[in-house]
Amino acid sequence: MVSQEKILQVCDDLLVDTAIFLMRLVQFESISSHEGPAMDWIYEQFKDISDECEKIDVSEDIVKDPDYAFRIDNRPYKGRPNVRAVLKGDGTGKSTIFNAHVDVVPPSKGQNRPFDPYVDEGILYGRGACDDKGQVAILWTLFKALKKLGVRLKGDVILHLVIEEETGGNGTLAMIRSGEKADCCINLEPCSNNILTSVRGAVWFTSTFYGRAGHSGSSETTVSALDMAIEAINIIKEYHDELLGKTINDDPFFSRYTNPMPVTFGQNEGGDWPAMAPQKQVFKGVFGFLTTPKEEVMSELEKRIKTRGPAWLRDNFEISFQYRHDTSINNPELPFVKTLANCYKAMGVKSEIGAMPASTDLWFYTNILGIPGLVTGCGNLMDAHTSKEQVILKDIIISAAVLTLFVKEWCGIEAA
Amino acid sequence: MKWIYEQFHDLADVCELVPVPEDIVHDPCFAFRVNDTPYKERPNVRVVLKGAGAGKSVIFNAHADVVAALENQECSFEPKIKDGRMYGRGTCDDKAQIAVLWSICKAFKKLGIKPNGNVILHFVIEEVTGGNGTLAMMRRGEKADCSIILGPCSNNICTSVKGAVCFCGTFYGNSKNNGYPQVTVSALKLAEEAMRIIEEYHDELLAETINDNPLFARHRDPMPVTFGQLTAGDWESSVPQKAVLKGVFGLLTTPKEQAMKEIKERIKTRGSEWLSTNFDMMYRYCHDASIIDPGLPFVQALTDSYRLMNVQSKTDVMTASTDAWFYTNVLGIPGLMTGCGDLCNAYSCCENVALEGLTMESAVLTQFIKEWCGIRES
Repeated sequence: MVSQEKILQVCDDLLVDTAIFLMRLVQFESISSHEGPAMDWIYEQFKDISDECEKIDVSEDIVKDPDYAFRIDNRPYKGRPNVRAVLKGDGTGKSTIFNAHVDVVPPSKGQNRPFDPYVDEGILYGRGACDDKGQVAILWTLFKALKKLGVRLKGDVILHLVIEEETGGNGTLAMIRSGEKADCCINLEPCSNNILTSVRGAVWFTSTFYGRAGHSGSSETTVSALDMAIEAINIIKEYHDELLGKTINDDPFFSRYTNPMPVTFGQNEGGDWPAMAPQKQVFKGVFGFLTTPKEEVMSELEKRIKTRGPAWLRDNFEISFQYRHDTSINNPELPFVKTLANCYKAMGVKSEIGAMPASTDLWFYTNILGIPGLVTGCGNLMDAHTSKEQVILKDIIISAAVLTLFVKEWCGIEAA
Repeated sequence: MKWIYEQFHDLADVCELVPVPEDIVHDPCFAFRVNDTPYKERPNVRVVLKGAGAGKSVIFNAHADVVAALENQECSFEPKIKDGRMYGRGTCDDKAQIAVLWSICKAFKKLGIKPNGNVILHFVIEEVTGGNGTLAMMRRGEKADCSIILGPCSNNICTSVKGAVCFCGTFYGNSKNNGYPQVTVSALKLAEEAMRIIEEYHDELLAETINDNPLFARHRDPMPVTFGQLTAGDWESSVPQKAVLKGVFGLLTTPKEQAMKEIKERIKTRGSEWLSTNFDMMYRYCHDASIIDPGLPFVQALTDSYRLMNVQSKTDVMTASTDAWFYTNVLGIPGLMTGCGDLCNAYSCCENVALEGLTMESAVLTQFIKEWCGIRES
């Protein structure tokens, strides 16, 4: 029988190879819609360590899917496939889908060497180090370890390595539309090794406000689009606070946070000249929510801006929604959750069950496919999207060991 | 400007291209550089109808630069005439005023008359970006008994012209993934905070100074603060790390240096702790208010001219900052603003001027020259 010590040792032995894998992966400038070369390379890395490994083309028709997020630019989907890799079980055990994404957000201002990663005292720095390429590295180490251990699986281990998670999950959407079945799903994101069974929902919004441009000396005849945008920001914040008050106790894990459903006004732009009241102001952001259905949130946001602002605002704005994720809430008592918790404990890794205060692709599996799921992973969410994004290499190895043990316990194995 | 030079060349005694020296950028009153286009090839133009020496002199100033067209502006640089109005960028601010001065020169030539005192025309560049063109003219030196700065004033005589500082604030946040709002600092929120502090200062200053001059008090807010541009953030789901806020802060009798200092000081001390050490504030242009006594003889002469030509006009304050202060405050030549067209049209997407208003303004100013400078047959 394969012991956990053996698992840990095999994974440990892969530290250098994993570091090389991750460094190479981070070098790919796979900002959302530019994942092609990275996915081709990933396919090559997994094809010899899987029983099945295929590039899954994303059809251009995905843009018509009702759950399609938005098109970031006009780059075609041809040449940017997802990758599906499988270690096949003999059908007598339980199956698991692991999901991780290959796209990254653009570098932060002032980020040193975002696509030229470096390691300092065992920590790898670079864009995607923890979100989410470090997690892809965990899965590569998992597959390498299972191969090295020479075990036969009873249940399938299926990897979905996807594009366009950062821009709303179009890659995972394409995977689920091609159909997949499994007994559980583990979505890998930087979670500090916690097991997050509740994942908040979110909608991205773009609002455009129109004013009446004019000279700064004509303040009585101009209408500043910036002022209108600020009115709308306050209306949105008010709605956010009400919704938070109403729903924070709907799930015990969300209520551990002061604000598990933040609203972020990420981009704001408008105006043509310092001395001219702006004619147009655009802001874009993310509105998080808990148990409220996304359709209700979108409808309410539009309605409130229309009815609670000044008269000019009512007829002089537009709002559209780009990505739209519902919340995913899973029962923490489910066997696969407990199994994973035990695996973390067995490997001496501190892990708690909780809620994810960011939105991920998990809801596609849980809400649309009906496959219970959770989010876990190494690395710290606070580092993701920042100029200091990083991951501890040893943590990747330990996470791989945890997941190898999970596969043993959940999917079931036999020594070859 | 070269075209303007051509148009006035045969109508005046003196018509010269006045180069703006590149080292104007080092002048303490220099506003800011919009881009790297050199000043060579962008001269001011100076035109003089020479007086015989016996009369009083006047400088007229008008600018040839305009603000950019707006996205939805139909007639920007292909002007159209409809129902007696000309539509296009710069029609009232400030090219109609140049047209007024051209038609005065034409009228003088046609009538075969000359002024007894010098009538000096300053056609300048870079007024909308802070007055660098007028600054250059002023540094060359000029003498006159009065100055009239032309702009869209609805024919009113603005003896008080507000001052302004044009500011650019940069605010720095602390960006993290939006999953942890309690440890992130949004640069956009900092900019909003600064906006409230600036508005508060504006409201206090307005209350303190609005009654310093009876003309100011006719307007609810003769010194508006405009937040013209705000840009923040790079990504929808990332809290903005940097926000840039540009605008104009109006002034009445407060010296510009005091306003500049106070804005910075207040953001430092009245905002949140993070804000106080995570912003830069710079000023792009700074004009003092220009305030002259409406009882001065040349103001009276202009008032009489409007009345004689049956054009409705009143003494008022200009709620926009202009180049007037260079003449009044720096050169010591009392200056006022007047002109055809309405300020509420300037900078708008349907900027326009009534052509009849233009010709009436020419008649008024010709009459003014007759009254103030005196005229003789050539």
